[in-house]
Amino acid sequence: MEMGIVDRMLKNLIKKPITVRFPWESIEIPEGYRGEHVFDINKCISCSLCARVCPNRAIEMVEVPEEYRDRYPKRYPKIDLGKCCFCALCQDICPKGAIQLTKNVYLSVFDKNAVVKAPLKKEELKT
Amino acid sequence: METLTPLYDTYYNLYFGPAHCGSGNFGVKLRVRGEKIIDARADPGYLHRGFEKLMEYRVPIQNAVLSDRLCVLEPLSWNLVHAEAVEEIMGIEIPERASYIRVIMAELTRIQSHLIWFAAFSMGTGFDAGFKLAIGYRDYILDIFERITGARVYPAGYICPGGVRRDIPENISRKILDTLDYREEEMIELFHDLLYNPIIIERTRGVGVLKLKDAVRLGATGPVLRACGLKADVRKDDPYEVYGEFDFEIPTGRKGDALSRLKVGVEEMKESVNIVKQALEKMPPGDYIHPNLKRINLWKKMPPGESYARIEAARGEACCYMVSDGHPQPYRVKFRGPSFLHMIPVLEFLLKGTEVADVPAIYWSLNPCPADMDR
Amino acid sequence: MEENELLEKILANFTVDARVQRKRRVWLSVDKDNLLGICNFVKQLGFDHLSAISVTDWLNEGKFELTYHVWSYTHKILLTIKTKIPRDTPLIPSVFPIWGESAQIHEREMHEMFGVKFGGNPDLSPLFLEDWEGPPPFRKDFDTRKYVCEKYYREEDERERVYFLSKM
Repeated sequence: MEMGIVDRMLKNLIKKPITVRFPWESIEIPEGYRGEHVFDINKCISCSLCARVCPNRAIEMVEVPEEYRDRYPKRYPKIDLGKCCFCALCQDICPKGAIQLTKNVYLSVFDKNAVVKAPLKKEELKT
Repeated sequence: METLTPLYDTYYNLYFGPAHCGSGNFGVKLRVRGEKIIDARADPGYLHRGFEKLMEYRVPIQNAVLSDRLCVLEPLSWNLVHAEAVEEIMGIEIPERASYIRVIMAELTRIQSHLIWFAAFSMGTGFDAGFKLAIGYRDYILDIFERITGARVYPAGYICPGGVRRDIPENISRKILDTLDYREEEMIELFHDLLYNPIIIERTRGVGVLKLKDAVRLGATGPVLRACGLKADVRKDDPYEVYGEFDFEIPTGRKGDALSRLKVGVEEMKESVNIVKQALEKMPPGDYIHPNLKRINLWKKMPPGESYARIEAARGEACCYMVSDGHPQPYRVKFRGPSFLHMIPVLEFLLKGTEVADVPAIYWSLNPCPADMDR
Repeated sequence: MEENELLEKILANFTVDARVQRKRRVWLSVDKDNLLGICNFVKQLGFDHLSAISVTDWLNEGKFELTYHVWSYTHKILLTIKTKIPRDTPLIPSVFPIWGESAQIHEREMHEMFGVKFGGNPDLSPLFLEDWEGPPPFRKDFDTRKYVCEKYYREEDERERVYFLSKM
């Protein structure tokens, strides 16, 4: 009788497992992975090409809050990560390289409205 | 010995349904008398998203990102068929290096899709260890995709009209050869052993027999048709990309039952490994995309015309018919999925007159994918 | 058989509009009344695999254009047969007696999505959509974006406001 499968099953009892124990260990993420967006407002020229190319309409051009409007008078992209499919077309089309995709993939949150990324964060204005 | 005579003849409806762990997002309504199936009717539509209408509002580069969600188990094949249809209307020729990269990605997708086929078949017939091992070995191929395209499962239109979206990294060829030599050969040997196991042979030999005349009339293509005896493969009959330069065989079966289909699947995986090794040796240097299409232009018009692109996906023959009338967006796009024909006419034909215990073996040996049936 | 030989055989028996697009692709345009005759002739020549049936809605001309794509395993040529039928009364005889169940399932999908009636098809019940009361959804005069905005989205909601803007 063929015992081919049972042989392999017994060998597998002694071998190391294929999986790693996340979150105590994790595998290394390579370069070029498409993760969370990072937006540099000083490079943006407000051409709104990123809003036009997004296939899911996740980018909307909005104005910054009142206090900063004299420094940044035009409209800037607001990215909704709940609708985004992380395709990096906005990174490819931007003529100045203002939107870049990083390697951050740990994006789970508990609050439904925290997934919307506004163009200006208060910490950026210290400089 | 006395046999019991039934008081009255009755049948009942059994729903082998979408929320069942033995089938995907797809249901079959069976009319059963005792253990024998009298009639079967397919119930599709749980994954209908209307891609053909969604693509009429978007330009080709956005449609390339959308086309990989047509079927989650083989997204790069659907990227390829959409890109070929657009290139034929625009009348452009892609550089040779891009064509070799496309062939490597298409064959790696075929290997990982067949691994999911065997995993689902093992799960359906009760062999849970095979399911876990196959999904574990598939991960090594997803690691290769992660380095090349940027994500494990959805490559976001990596194969776009004009070529590919980015060039392959420098030392990827060593990594692909290591993975194929050490891991995937082990996996293929394991499934070769599976098919000589007496229990699997009893469950699949002589079950779900499809003859050649019926197969062509019902619209079967791919491994289901090759197991009936006809040597038909789109890569050899209607060559696309650079498949004409490689040397590979087309495996066929003789009897048309479930065991022949699985054997054809294993042989196909071996031939795919062979093609990837030949392509890595012969790859020429050059551009990875046609120079006119390198910068994204949202207002570039497509010339009026029509085209019909056919490729050999892992499940069968996948086609795209595209009509354009001069605007940047296409006027009409139609996709023909291989599972559309396998899951409705072929399944209803094969399930009549069999027993309820044979339903998982027949269903999973046809390699069904509800996503490219509904589109 | 080469593509030009095939063209000669067809043109010898019928008057159609034919062209060879490239290797292994031949396109024919026929009249609605000749359709069944040509399909029978082509099936006898060895074209027995029906790949797809599709419908294109030309709203400006007021016609539906049907396309039948057939492949032959022996001659290795893909032949496409196109006809036009009027949009107000879309009736055409079915090709189920010629190519079997693969034709029947494609015609069932086209009936549901475009409203084309195929005479002689044994089963034209709805395939994908359940409880759908409106017009056939893939026609060009049914705007899916307007329907979805009216039925499901609210303009006051901050995250759904972007669907009401008219950009791509």
